[in-house]
Amino acid sequence: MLKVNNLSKIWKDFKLKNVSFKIDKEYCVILGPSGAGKSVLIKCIAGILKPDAGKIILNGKDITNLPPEKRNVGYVPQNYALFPNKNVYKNIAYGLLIKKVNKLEIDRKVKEIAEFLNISHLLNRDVKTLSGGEQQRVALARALILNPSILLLDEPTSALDIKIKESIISELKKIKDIPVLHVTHDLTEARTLGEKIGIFIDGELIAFGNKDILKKPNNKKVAEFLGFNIVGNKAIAPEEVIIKDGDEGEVINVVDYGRYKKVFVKYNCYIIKAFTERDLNIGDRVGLEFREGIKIIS
Amino acid sequence: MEKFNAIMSVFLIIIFLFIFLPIVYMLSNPGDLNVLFSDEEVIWAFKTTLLAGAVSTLIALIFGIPTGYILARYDFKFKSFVEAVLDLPMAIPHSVIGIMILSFIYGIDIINFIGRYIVDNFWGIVTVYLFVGIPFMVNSIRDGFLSVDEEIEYVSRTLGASKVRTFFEISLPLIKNNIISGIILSFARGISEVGAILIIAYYPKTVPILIYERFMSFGLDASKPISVGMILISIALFALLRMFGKMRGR
Repeated sequence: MLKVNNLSKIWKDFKLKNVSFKIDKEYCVILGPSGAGKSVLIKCIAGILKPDAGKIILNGKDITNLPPEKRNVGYVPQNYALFPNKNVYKNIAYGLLIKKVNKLEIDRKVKEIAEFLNISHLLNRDVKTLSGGEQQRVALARALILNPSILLLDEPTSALDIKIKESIISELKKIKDIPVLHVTHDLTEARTLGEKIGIFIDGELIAFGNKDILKKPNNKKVAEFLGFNIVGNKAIAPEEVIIKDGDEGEVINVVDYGRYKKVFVKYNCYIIKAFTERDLNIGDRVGLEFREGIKIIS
Repeated sequence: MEKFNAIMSVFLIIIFLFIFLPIVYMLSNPGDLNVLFSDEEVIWAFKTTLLAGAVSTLIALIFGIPTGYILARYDFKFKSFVEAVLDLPMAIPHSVIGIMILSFIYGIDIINFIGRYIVDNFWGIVTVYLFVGIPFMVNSIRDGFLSVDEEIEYVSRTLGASKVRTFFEISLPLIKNNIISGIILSFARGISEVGAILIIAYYPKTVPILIYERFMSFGLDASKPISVGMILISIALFALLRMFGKMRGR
């Protein structure tokens, strides 16, 4: 269990402001735009950065001032940071070697974790020859082999192309029984993996809770970040906007997703986002109908 | 375009020959190479030069690794000033370096007893070699640490390795080639020094000093074979450097 209390940190251009949350053995996704300071949060929990204020408690123990090597956290940075002078096997085994685990046991564990993450065939490879997805799996294996008290993932799929991304997501789904803290800017990842979701903007955790907060944002900032249309004091998901025949709106932009299109419609003084299967082009006039919206405060 | 490239190539060829031809000529007209193996003074000069080079390079290495690490990893007040000062020996004329060191030692009362160990002494040669060679060592090692992604060190820490262990097991092996090129460069820079050595430690004679002396006393033919010996050492060092440079580029 991880408990973060009023954590604050200023590092380079990034800031954490009074961040507090708690996760059990569950998959928690912290969602936020790039540059919001998500990596700073992860680095504080890993012990790489020392917080200016606040407390970090892992399994009941205050780890705020412990060095990284005494925390038992699994850390997978955005660029994977594999040891370039060791092969895949030695990368994965490194943590066990430090703990002076005997050779047979190391061998058994490395093979077990490699099988779990489908990288058994890569064990003798030089890490410089691996693809992005393969590197990610090796980095995961290297962290997981030590049975960490928490797994920290910093934008684990941001450098991967879409197909590899999906397979990594399905790999991540298999991780059970330990808390996972995964920071990302990708909404799909949050929806697919998150049991708990946090929304992190400008160094602040402005929403935290179960998946519902993605569907029912409680304030304007969250709603805007999640792509809701803000009309008056209501947040309306793009899926809740129906495009029909009419004259009150003008299409100003179209993104083509194949079977459907995302359209941006100028409507009164708002720009409304909506999905449609109609074949619309920029400049077309359409009518809009809103299904239920969520009332938001402020 | 073809004509343009041809004109550009002419410049390349001229400047290449400017350096290459004298070397080739020297190697093919070495004079009596027997002196390299029979003349005691020559043999001693080579021994002195190589030993002083090795000692000063070792000292440079011991100081260069921590210095390079701090410069690569931490920001502090006056850092760029410190870096500039550490680079300065590359810009100061060689004879000035000799004058500077000498006047410093004799100018400050509490340290002028050191003069005995420096002036016309083996340790004077080491001091000069260290002074002129240290910038190459520090820069090479600093660049090495700069090229090691800090995340790699962080991950090593989270896997249970202490800061010290991470330094020796992860970071240091990753800059192996930078260390080797630092060694070669500072060694090569040291043993080629003449100006400062002439002023501080004419004796025991190093090879470049002996070459200069033989040339002044006996002329070109007397200094040629010793020069060829020196060229061979320089070429060998340079070949090593290129080899490790290539490996680093991989």
